[in-house]
Amino acid sequence: MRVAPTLDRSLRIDAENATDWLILEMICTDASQMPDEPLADKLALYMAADEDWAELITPELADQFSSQIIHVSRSISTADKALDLTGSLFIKAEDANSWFGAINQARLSLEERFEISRFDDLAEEQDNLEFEDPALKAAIVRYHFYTSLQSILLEYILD
Amino acid sequence: MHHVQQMRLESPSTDFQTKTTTQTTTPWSVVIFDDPVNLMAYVTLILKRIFGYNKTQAEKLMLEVHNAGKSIVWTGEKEQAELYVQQLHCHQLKATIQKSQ
Repeated sequence: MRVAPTLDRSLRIDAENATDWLILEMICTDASQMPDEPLADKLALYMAADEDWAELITPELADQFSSQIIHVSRSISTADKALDLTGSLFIKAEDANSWFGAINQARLSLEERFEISRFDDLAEEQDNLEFEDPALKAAIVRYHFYTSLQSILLEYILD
Repeated sequence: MHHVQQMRLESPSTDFQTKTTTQTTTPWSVVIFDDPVNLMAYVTLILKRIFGYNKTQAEKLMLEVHNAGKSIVWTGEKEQAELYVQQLHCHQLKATIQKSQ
């Protein structure tokens, strides 16, 4: 997979095979698997003293977070793909916030499920580390891919 | 203090007004908490977008959040503070309001 900014302030993602598309789709899968309770409810705990917050603000936030995931899912599923499953996906400036939000939800979810941050100090050595749990290893790889995608979005489109 | 006590004796309604005034002018602070996921550059960007801080101010506050675990990023009226927290939550940042000390 190749990811690069374009001259018109978009981000172009070139997928080279089915695995690349699967990795992109995992953004939505991971984002949808927030453990315990939805993200909007988790954030509402910080405003628990406000009686109206959960009733008025939380549903609106939950809708917004869901919309981000749906938006990214549609972009991936409707991207032009050749028979050999090569294809390109463009993240335009107006879509960048939705993409960033969905990817952030995916990273938050992975962090909660696997505590990825405990391996932060080992980031440079991660390629050489051997994890007994293949799910954990896959989660770490996805987490770092999502982080790279967010960094590119931030540097070239959002900021 | 002395002035408020004198008003209480004169009229309960005046006392109520005095209390109301005190409550509405109590400053509230917006507090952002650190988390291991949100990127430092993203927190800086959101501080610039929501509060209108310049890059230097935003980076200073972001580093305070990162190093101290939390930071007061704005102080003012309660309603505005709540609006700011709502916007911060929209960007998936952990934030709350607290009465300013």
